[in-house]
Amino acid sequence: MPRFSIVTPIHDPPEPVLRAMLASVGAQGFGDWEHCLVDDGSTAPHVRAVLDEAAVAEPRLQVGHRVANGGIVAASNEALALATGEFVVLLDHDDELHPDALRRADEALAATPEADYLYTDEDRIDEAGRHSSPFFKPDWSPERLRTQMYTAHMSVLRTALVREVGGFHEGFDGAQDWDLVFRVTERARTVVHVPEVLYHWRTLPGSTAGEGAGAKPWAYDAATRAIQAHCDRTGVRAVASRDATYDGVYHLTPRLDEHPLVSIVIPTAGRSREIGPDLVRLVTQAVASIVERTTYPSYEVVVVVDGTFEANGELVDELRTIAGDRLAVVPFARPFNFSQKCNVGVLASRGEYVLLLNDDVEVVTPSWLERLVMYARLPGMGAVGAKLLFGDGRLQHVGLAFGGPMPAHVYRGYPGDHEGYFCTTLLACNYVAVTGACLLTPRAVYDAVGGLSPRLPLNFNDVDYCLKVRSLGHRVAYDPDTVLVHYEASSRSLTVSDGERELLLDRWGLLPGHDPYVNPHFNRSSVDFVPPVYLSDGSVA
Amino acid sequence: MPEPTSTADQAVLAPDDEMARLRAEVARLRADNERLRIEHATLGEEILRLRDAVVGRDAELGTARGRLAELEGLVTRYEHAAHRLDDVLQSRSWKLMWAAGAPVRKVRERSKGE
Repeated sequence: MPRFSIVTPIHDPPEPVLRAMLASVGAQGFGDWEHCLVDDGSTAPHVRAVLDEAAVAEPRLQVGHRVANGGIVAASNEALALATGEFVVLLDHDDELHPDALRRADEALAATPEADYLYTDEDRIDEAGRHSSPFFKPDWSPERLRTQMYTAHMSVLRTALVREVGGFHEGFDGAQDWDLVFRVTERARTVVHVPEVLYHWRTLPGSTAGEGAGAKPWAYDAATRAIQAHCDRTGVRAVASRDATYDGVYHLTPRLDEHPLVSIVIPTAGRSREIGPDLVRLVTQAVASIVERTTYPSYEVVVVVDGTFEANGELVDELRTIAGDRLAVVPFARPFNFSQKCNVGVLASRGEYVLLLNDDVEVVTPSWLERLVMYARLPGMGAVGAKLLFGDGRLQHVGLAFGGPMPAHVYRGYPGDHEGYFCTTLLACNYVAVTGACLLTPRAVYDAVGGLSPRLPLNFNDVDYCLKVRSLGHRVAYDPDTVLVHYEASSRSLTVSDGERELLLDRWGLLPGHDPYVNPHFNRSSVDFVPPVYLSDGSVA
Repeated sequence: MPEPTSTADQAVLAPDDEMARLRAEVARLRADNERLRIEHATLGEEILRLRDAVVGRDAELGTARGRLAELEGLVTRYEHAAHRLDDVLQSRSWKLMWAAGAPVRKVRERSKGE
């Protein structure tokens, strides 16, 4: 049994690219493979000639011919039926493999024997073989896969599992790979990412890589169906839809059938700040925006306020007028400690889910709680964050990452509509941490990790919380379609005390370089996913 | 207050006593309840603090183990390199080359002296 069966359905590719594809397989430094090709009724005469010639020259080629064109799913399944290898490698008829592709995949699979799915980074090549647009990907991010087929090429799947899930399914032509990867990863024990460009996706007139949505409009409908089918199988209560502007970006709209109680915990000092021309009491504005805009039926608001009830009588009355019976006020008459304040609020709350919210935010998306609960209810989810904008509309938070020595906000200060590297800010993504300014977490998880650490009274308590959550095996996610305004002054000093820095390093070590969602090729002095200069021969400057 | 003398008097006055007793009991229970509520909250915070400490210590231990393995790996690599260098210096070919290079070194030393 060979290690790899490369599966390639073929339909009328130009002769030079067909030959280039075959040559890239032949040039593999790793030799334990077979190549299963099925010609799906090509009408161009060169196809049969090239395949027959290649089959004579290379005994590891298995070629099948369909009399009539049956579509990519039928041809892929026929090629899959020829496969005898331990793993299936998907290769399109006009693309190329890097010469080390199979060797590196073999090494990675040998290092992780329980891996059932492996994917690599990829780039694009034009007709002349010039390289561009490298896609340096994050490690396994199941949330991202629901809104973008980011694993795409090169995909290597355990053959037995592919057969177990029924191979390629009819009805998903154009998104058949995505549908298959969904079904395989739903059962996969481990998913492995090799952060190297080992696959070259050809941009040709008429190909998706070359022309985007215009080339295969049906593929986007098929992709939407594939996401929906995945959601229906896995209990994600949502409806999938395609982004109106960005090709390959999808959204989930919650369709919850249950509305568990959410406790919104807001620590506050009751301060006011000038926002625009007005002097606004921050917590009052936050609670008003919650009450006015939230469509989720089941929530309570727990405000943890500095001082005693008596000292906050006016504020309590004001909040009570706005939030009525949903409001609970908890006094906090101790020296400042943000983490303790949050913990006290959570202990006084009743919800199955806890939402930590800063007092200087304003809800924008009416379905914000539905959205966050939709994610929080997924098995293995530990914390969910939102997209936060500064008052002037720029990005404040779309996830936290380790680029430099300390964690930082990705794309902080960029324009609010900045889509980021390969549309990162528009996608549901996994991160090592999200901001505590708006963080939804199951109460059971909050209890299990001991809430926010009182040893981090001001900074990094949210990062530490998320790292604790991850250390217990839970995921942390960001939802791009949950939007709030965060009136944090963009000029706020991000000074961190030595004690806070030391605690974080003692607990979690030197995470830079080990953030699974930051590809090692990115510039490490930034968390903004800045790729290196990529030369047309596929090398990095 | 005079002692009730008749059954009827007793029937009228007893509920008042009972009410007063019950009121006192409710006040005491309320105080207890508030004390227990505070105690409960304090215990809840303490449990969170301890869980944070446990998870944090586990993380520290993991980090320390990782760092230890990393440093041990470095030490092993240095030792291998030192052994290899030693092997090279002890090899016959190195000694021959060193001997063969002696005249050149002498010339260099002289030219430096001048």
